[in-house]
Amino acid sequence: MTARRRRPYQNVVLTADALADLRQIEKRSLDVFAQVFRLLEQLDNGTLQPTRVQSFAKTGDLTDCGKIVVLVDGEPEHRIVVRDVGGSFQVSEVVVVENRTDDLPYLLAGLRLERQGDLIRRSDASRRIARIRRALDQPDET
Amino acid sequence: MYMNVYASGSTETVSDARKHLTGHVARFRAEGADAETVVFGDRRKPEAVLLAFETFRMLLEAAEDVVIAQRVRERAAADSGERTSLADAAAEFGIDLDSL
Repeated sequence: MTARRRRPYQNVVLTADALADLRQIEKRSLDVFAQVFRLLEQLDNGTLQPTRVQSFAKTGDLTDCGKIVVLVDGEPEHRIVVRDVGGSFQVSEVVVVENRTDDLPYLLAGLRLERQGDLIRRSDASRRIARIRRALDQPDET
Repeated sequence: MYMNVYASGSTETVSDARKHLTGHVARFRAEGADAETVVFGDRRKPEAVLLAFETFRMLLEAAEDVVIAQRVRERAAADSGERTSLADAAAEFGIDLDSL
């Protein structure tokens, strides 16, 4: 997964969904917002390499997918999800991941359901809790 | 990736797990993700697990990647095909990338 320097700031492109993610993050935290752009700038100039997303049989081949961890003091962790498209990167998603320990039951609920509409993204605790409860109330489909 | 999650299949009682807690933690510290996890529960019914933090972190990573993969597929299925370069995105938000 390599980025080749061609024209500045043209080696990374964002999907419409990723742009929408950034608009939401701009409203929530300017610090996170700025850090996301710093990381995207590093991705564009080839000084940052995403961590490959592990592929599992259930989720298919995603060897072209990577993630970038966004860490800002006092803010929930975020992930930038990218796809390698011929040496350039396409940003498909910028999502919030809250406290990793607290995330476990949330992630596992998603695994039980095999799929979920909006599992990582949530803007408040009540939505998150409601989703977990809803997920756990449903029969295991796996 | 292989993790020794439940190698022995044996289950400790709660009191055994409590009694051996310091030893379990020492083993986790020494062996990391290779350390056998400890399953315990009332009357040896599997109810809870002690595991090395490294193992826990790997499980989180794996779970997160599965969720990310699902999200990528969902977004790809609904993709409008519209793309915005980083330069144009920065301009839209009024960010000077050269000054970051």
